[in-house]
Amino acid sequence: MSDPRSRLIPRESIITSRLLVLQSKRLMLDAIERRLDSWNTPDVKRRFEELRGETEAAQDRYRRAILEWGSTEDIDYWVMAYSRLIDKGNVIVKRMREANLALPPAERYQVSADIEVMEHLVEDWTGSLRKSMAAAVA
Amino acid sequence: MTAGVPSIQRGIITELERELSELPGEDLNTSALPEVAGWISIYEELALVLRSVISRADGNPDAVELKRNLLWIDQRLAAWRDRHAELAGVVIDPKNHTLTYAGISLRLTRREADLLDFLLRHPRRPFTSKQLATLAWQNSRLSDAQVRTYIMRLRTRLQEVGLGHVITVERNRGYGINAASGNGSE
Repeated sequence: MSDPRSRLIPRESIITSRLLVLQSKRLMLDAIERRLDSWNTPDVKRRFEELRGETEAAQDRYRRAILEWGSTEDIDYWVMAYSRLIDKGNVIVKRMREANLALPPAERYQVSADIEVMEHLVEDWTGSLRKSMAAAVA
Repeated sequence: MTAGVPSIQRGIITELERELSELPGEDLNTSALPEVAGWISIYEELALVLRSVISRADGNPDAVELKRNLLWIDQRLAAWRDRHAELAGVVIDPKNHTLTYAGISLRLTRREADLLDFLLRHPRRPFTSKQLATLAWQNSRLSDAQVRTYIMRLRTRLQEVGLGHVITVERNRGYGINAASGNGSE
């Protein structure tokens, strides 16, 4: 069943609008970062932190939009898809590595195996990401 | 590359079994429960992204490899869900809907057992009444009030075995489980 939103707004418009929001946030962040060099006041610092969070959120919404609405024929889609998979895979590897030494032996064996396999997967996805990026440049 | 995952895994386990058992700094009393709950959430997110990509990429050559990846991730997810329930010390017999915790058994209704089993297998995540009705009971016609009644009734029953606080209520987000609060490890 198709999402009712897709019938009202063209998919490309959703992606473009999220990209525009992201670009605006980046510009604002750049501007306040420059201001921070001259006026390092608590107010400017607070606004900088707020904008950094907003930019990250805008980046996340843009990535989600590509994954949800982008065309799989489009190289950008695959770059975004593999980046997302790599991010999540790395989070698992990091969390498991951090916990592993403190775990009882029974858990450690399994966790270490999971870490190794996940690293292989991340490696594969990184290879695919590189291929997609090379295709985008070509 | 990932087609060889099971053999890689077997080799690694044997090798690590030998090496890791001798590592210093071991703390046998550390509970793995909160960690396992965290991993389940991340595996779920990863599986969600993979499913979304695969559903859209049918026919694309990458989809075949991604399906293999998803298969492994789903297997690990299922294994960690089992382990989480095991670590929580809660055993639910699906046939006669009996819950056993700390040596005490409790007879639940089918709905109560299904609900508790579902929440234990999906820790650290709140579910709305609608989601619980659909995912735990496959019955989307249950009203929010009905689900709330089942939850409250189950919480009261769980107090009998010292698990009164295991089901958590998050305002505007739904119901979840904190299995660690049941065994005193958090």
